[in-house]
Order: sequence, then structure tokens, then C-alpha cells
Amino acid sequence: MTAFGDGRAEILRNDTAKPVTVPMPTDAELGALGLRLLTACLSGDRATVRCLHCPSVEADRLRVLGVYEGACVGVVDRRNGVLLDVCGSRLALDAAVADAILVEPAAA
Amino acid sequence: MEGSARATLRVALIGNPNCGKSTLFNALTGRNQKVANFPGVTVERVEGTYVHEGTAVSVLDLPGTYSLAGDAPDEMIALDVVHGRAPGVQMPDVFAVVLDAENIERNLYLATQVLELGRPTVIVLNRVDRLPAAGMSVDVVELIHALGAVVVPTVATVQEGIGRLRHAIARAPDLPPTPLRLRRPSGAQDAAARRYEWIADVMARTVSRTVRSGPRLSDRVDAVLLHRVWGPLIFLGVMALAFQALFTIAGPLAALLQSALGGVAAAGRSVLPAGDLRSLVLDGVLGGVGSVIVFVPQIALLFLFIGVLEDSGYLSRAAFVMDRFMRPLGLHGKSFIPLLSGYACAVPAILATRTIPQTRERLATIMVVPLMSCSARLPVYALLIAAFVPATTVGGVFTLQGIALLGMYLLGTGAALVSAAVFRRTILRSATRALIIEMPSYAMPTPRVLAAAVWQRVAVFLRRAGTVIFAISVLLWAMGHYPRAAGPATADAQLAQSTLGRVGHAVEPVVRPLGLDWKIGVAMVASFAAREVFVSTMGTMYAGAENGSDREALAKRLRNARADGSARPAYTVAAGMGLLVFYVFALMCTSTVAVTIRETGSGWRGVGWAALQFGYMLALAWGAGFVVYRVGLAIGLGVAA
Repeated sequence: MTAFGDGRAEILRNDTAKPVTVPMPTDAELGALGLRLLTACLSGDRATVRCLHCPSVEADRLRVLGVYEGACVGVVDRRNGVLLDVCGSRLALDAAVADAILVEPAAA
Repeated sequence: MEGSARATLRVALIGNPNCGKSTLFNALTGRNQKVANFPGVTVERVEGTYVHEGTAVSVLDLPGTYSLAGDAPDEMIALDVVHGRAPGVQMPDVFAVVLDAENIERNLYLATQVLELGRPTVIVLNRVDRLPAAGMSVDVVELIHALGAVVVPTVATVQEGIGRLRHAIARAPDLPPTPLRLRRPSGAQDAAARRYEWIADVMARTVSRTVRSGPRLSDRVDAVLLHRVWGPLIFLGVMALAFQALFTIAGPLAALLQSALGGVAAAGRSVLPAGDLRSLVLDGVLGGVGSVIVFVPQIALLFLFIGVLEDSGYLSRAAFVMDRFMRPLGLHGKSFIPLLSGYACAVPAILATRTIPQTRERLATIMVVPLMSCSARLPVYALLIAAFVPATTVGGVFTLQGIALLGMYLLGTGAALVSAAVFRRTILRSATRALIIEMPSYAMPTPRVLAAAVWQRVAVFLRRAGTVIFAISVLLWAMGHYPRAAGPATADAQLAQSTLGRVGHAVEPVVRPLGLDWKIGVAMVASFAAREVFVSTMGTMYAGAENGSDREALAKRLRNARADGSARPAYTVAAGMGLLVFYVFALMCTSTVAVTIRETGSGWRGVGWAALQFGYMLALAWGAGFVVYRVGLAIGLGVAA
């Protein structure tokens, strides 16, 4: 087993999380748009992701993992953070990031 | 391929974390590599070779990555290779993209990015045996048409499809390149959506799923294991049982080893004439190396336990459960995996921090990982607990000794968490990133893979015993026997005036406040290179007529040892407890110091972090040992065990 060359200097370059400056919509504003926070969904609900209101580095990560704007996701469990069904895979999100995902509930 | 490099075909395995890539690597090359069920386990560049129809094939196992735009250090290693930027690594001739068949839709995201590069690529559809249970089937022929690449179904755990895969890899460079062409929107937001839309279209043509009624079995299990209350309690229960098992299951095995070593010692005494050579072989080598080797059963069990947690998929659940407790300390769940790995060995644990994308969180984790009690501390704990803690049964199942061992692990863990909080609130302050973590499917660990992983780690331990500890044991023996006392002298008198004794007396002022004497000082100094040397040093110094590899005998000698020239016990219970705590906190491992230097930036920057790590842990160790000793005296533990 050997380590890769001297590329480790790059390891230390990643403090790039930017704060989100746009304020989160209020519950009333969300309701008027037919949206809700992912954490407001119940276990078993399905919803379409409409907005990722989190720092870009986290939003990009979510998109790569299938939680992109327009993706249909299922809420498997939301008692401790949120466990999502994404393309058949299970993705666990802590409550803070789940609170930054705005979704449109799918019709029952 | 160019020039002479054509003689070897270079293949890079790339895929999402936890897609079975490392198992496939082992199946292809026959090399045993660490395989685990947690994202990011492959943190080093690992290579193996095989020969196919006369052509040597070199296989490079890349760290798992979800896309060609990852920002975690381990992902960047994979990206550097894919883009031909990795120093000292030639661009692979063939990419083998490994897909977890059960999670094919999400895994195709990375596959489409690799296919867009237009390099010779083979798609490996791994774990196809799990498809029926998941209610899925994949039309492989249609998938080949959709992707424009060869697709080989495999089950790496049982070597199924490996021959076909080797054949496909050998043919790949000769096939005409057919790069995938997806329309490229401008923003990251649209790019991901467009790619997943394309994948959804492919899925509709190639994958059929039976409609399920009700939640999956794994979801029902997760409802318990990820529960806010039950989750942490179950995790704690699992850990408690595991540490108790280290004593109860490994005990008889260790006794067998001790008996075997006793037999070797007896044979040595009958063959070798009395004198320095016999003393060197029996007291120096067998007493020193043997005292460490007897811990192999416990260490193997520890690695087996961690391997089962990883390979079953539980470790990721534990990380998620623990995230809630880590976050107030400035860490998140991903830091938990390196910390837990630290129970086995700090070196791979520090390497595993590469899965943490945020620099300051990663540095804080590196700084505290060595506080987690690694396997090398186990011999020290076991000896001192056997010497100073009675084996009283508690609650019918546990013993005071088992509880004490768990206590040492909890103390180290607690110190690591508190230290992390201090680092994150002072010199490593920054916002904590969100935890976004894939929950791998539950899987029954494969005994063959587990056994290989355990053997690999035990072999490292034995190699250390056969090299570093052997050398130190011989050196210590020589230092303990020379210069010779003038005229006849007792063993203690000889030791006292030997080089070892002089070193011990020189450091005695430092260890005396901890209630310890110069002999323990010698063992502590010797164990700065590797902490398990403490046991071998004590084994060498207390070998005498008894077999130095016998832990019980050594523990008994420690209990019965008398202070120089008096009837007072040399080591009181309070001093023993203080010494135990000292070893919980002290960083005595040159390998850990070296890997810290390398992983925190190399050069003086790395040296600075390593010096800080070593210094604060040593100060913590001495301070805590002193406090425990003084409190022990105050509550009446200043007596012999």
C-alpha cells in the first residue's frame, strides 16, 4: 500500500462553505406557494424537491446524491433527522440540512 | 498506451463508496485488501496485479467517489487519477466503473461522467445476486445499448463473473471509443437534473421493479437502529458486550498461547546452558516479545468486531445516530467513523479522516483520534487491570475487570470528544458542515473477507512484535544486564546498577509524583516508541524464574513487588489506577506521529500539528494520572491490590 505523491497540500484547501444570505421564506409564504420544509413531511410521504436553501457546497453534494431540484423523494423516517428514499437508495440527512430543503408534497 | 508501458495494462476501479469495489479488487487480484461497508474506507492508493492470457494487468483501487466533482480529500485522489493529474501515476488504460446493482440509478451518475471522458471503459454491474430480493431485474443487453459500453454482471464476494470481467478489461482498449454525449446545461443545478433525467430514461428501459407493499425490512430495522432513544442505547449495548467479550472469549485463547509459550520457555531452559545466552533468549526475547504476542486473540477479536460493524452496514447507522451527540462538540457524524476506527489503530483512523471534507473538522478529528484506545493499549490495560482490579463478578454477567476495561475506553472516548470541542472552539473554529450520508444496504459479512481483514491487521501487529518490539526487548535486556555488578548480586541489585536502572533513576523524579518507581519509569520511557513495549519491558524486568509471557504471573509480580529495600508495596492500587489513566491519554506511538505529520500538511506545518498533538496528550496524561493517584490516596486506595 503506498500513498499518493505530495498531493496532500490540496487536502487543506476546502473551507469553502458559503453562508446562505437569502432569508428562508416564512411558513405563510411557503404555504402560499404550496411548499413545505422537508422536515414537515411525515414518514411515508413522497415529495418533489423545489429548492435547496443551503450553502452551495452542501447543495451540490445533495444534487450529486440525487436530491436535486425536481427530484421526487420519499420520506422513510423523520424522527431523527430525515431518512430519504432517493432513487431506491437510502440517504440520511441531519435535521439542519433537511430544514433547508423545500419540497412540494406529491398528490396522495 | 505508449511505448514500453504497453507491456502492462493499467486498470483503475472507480465507483461510489460502498459499491463492493474493494471486494471486486480482491477478487480480481487475489490480494487481501481492507473491505468495508462504510463510505470512504479506501483512503489509500492500493494496487494489485494479475495475468490474463499472457498480459500483466495492474489494478488500481481508487477511493470511492459519488461524482467527478467531489471535494473530500479521498475523492480528490480519485479525481486526480481520472484526470491524469495524480503525481507518479500514469493515466489508466481502462476504467472499470463499479455499480452496486441494487443502487444502480444513483450509481449511474458517476458512470455517465466517466463515460463522457471517452476513455476505454467497462461497466461492472456488481452484487447482481441481491436484485431478486430487492424486487429488481436489469436488462443487461439494453443497458449496454443505452450506455454504449460493455457491461459485465458480477458477484465479487463469490467470484462470479470475474473471468468475464478480466476478458472485457483486456479487450476494452481495442474497442472504438464511444464517448457518451449528454447535453450540458450551464449551472450545477441544471446539470445534475439533466443527468438524472437521462438516467431515469435509461432506467425505464433497462430496470424493472416489482411494486412493494409496505416498508422494506431494512427500513423497519432502521426505524429502531436510527431511533433517537433506542439507537444510542443499542449502540452502547453493542459496545459494552463487545468489550466484555474481549475478556471472556479471548481469555481461554490467550491462556492457550501462554501455555504454548511456557512450553517453549521450558524447552529453552532444558536445551540452553545457564548464562547470558539463555537469559537473552528466555528473559529478553521470549519475555519481551511473548508478553505482547499473547494479546493476539484479543486484538483479533477487536478487529473482527469492528469488521462486522463495518461490513454489516451498521457503522454508517452508528455515525448517523452519533451525529446528534457530536454536533455540539463541533464535529459531525463523519468524524465518528475515524474515531471508532481509532479503537483498532490510530494510523488507519487518521487516514480515514480524508472522508471529512471540511479542513478544520478534519484537523480536529486527527488531533483527537489517538485518544481513542487503540489495540496497542489493550496489552497495557489488560496487564494493569489484571494487576490492580479484582475479578469480582457484577450482575452475574460482567466482572469488575471487564467494567474497568470499558471504563478506560469510555474515558479515552470522552477525552477525545471534549478535546475536539476545545479545538473547535479555539484554534480550529469554523461552522460545522451538515451530515449527508448514504445508508448502505444491510449485508451479512462474508467470513472469508472478514477473516482476510482480521489476518491483515493481526499480521501487522505480529510484524511489529517481530521487529520493533523484538529489537527493543533485546536492547532493554542488554541495558538491564550491563554493566555487570561487581561480584555476586541479586537480580534487583543488578538491574538497579545497570544502564536501564540508571535511566530509570534519572526519570524517577518525573514519575514519582504519580506514585511510581524507577522501574515503571524505565518501561514508560521505553514505550515512547510503541506503547505496548511497556508490557514487554515489564516482562523483561520481571521475568525472573517465571515465564515473562504469562500475564497473570506478571500481574502477580507487580502486585507483590516491594519498594526498594522496604516491605512497602512498590505499586499501590491508586498508583496502578493513575498509571492506567496515564496510558489512556498518552500518545506513545511513532507511527501515529508520522501519519499525523503527513496528513496535516507535511513539512514544518505537519511537524507543528504533530508536536501539539503529542504535547497536549502527554500533559493530559501526566496531569490526569497525578489527579487519579492523589484522589486514590485520599479515598484509601494507597494500599497493595
